[in-house]
Amino acid sequence: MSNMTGEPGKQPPPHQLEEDLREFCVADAVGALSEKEQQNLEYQEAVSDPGVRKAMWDVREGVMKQLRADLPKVEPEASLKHRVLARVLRAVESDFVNSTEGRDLPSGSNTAMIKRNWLERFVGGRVSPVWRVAALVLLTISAGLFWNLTAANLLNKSMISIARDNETENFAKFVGPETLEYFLNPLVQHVPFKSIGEESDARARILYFPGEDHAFFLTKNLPILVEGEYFLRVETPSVDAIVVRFTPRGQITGIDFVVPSGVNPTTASWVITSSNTQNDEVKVMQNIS
Amino acid sequence: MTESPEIDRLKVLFAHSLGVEYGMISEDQGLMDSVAEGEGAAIELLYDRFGKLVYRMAYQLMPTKADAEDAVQEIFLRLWQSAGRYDSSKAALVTWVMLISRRHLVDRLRRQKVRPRPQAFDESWTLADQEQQHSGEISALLTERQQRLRERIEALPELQREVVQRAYLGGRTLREISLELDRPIGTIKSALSRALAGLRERVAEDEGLL
Repeated sequence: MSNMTGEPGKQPPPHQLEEDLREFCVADAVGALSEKEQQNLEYQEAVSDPGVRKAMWDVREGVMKQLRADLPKVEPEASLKHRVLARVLRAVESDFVNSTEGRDLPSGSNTAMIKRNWLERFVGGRVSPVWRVAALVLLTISAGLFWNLTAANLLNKSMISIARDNETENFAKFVGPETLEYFLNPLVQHVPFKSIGEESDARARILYFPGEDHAFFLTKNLPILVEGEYFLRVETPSVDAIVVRFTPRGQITGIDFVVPSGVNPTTASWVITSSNTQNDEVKVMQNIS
Repeated sequence: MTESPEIDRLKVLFAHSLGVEYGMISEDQGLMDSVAEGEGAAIELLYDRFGKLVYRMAYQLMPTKADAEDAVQEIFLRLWQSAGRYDSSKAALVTWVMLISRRHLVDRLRRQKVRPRPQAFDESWTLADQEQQHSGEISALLTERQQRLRERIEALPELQREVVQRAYLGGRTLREISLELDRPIGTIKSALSRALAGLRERVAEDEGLL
């Protein structure tokens, strides 16, 4: 093939290609081609059909067999193996460290190489099957525990949410939907109460929107009086008045009331009293100041 | 054919590492894929299979034993670097390894611009010189083999003899030989091809195959 030493060109007729190409393959196998001739030959091989490529390698193989027959029967020293492996593996490690994967490693470090090799060996099955099975079992157990904890957590939150929703719904049924807004609106201010005297589980709270003249009074677990009722009284330097009279109905009692003019619910003094008679007032609860 | 149970085991592991069952892929392809990845065990297996062959090739062309050992290291380095280009569907691994080795050895000769180990084409070369060169390393087989090669080359037609001595044993390129012998490259190329064919026939005759 006369154009082998120049640019690859038009394919010559098959028979000519066969002889010319064959001779070039012989020369290549012996190492008698220049670098450029070698590149041209490799290009020719790359653009040829598979049959031609195979034939080119068959020619090389034939020459190699001849070369092999003429080789001296000498044996390398045993230490040569160690030197070869050491040199190649140093180059492999250096190549890895200098690559993207190992860029942040200290010079000479083979930690990542060890990790990568370990991982590849593990995934590739070059670790004992016993260890692989043990690792998989451990992984499965860990995943299961994680799932269970996560699921339990989510379920717990869900249950709390459902309970809260139920409680809110029940409360709303009791006090009326319009008062539910007091509990859901973040602008609402709270005035908590505490029991006076004997320890009890009674609870009370005033909720109100600042600037508005209405407020909501809520009580829980106030003992139901046999005869009589409870009173909610407010005291300020300028005001002393009973604003709510009520009889507890069940566990929770909620009452909407008008805040006296000039009274700041948060700074005023509030007290819940009970009386069997108007002249025998007993303070049951007062706001926490 | 297996070299040892240990190598067999490594071969199975190499196949598994590629996600296929042993036997479903070319052993050679699997080995070279692993070599390309820098797997130490694969590189070691490659040396176990071809280290001796590569050393003998280096020993034939390099002027000293130390040069031959250096060349072997360089060749395996090159085999690792080019392992990704190996395609078992095109060539047997031994052919590919020998080609890479041969190219490297000839390149090294040209770079160093040293005479290779004294070969048959140097008329002043004697067996005594050869023994002195190897200083005790030479074996009777080496002497006998080299003698036979020398005789076969001597039996070739003149042009073929001149070409094969320079290309086959001396590491010259076709162009260099063409300039030295003042002949067209095409003539040199054809002479080399015929010379090698002639040498193969003579080997077959010697071994009683023809």
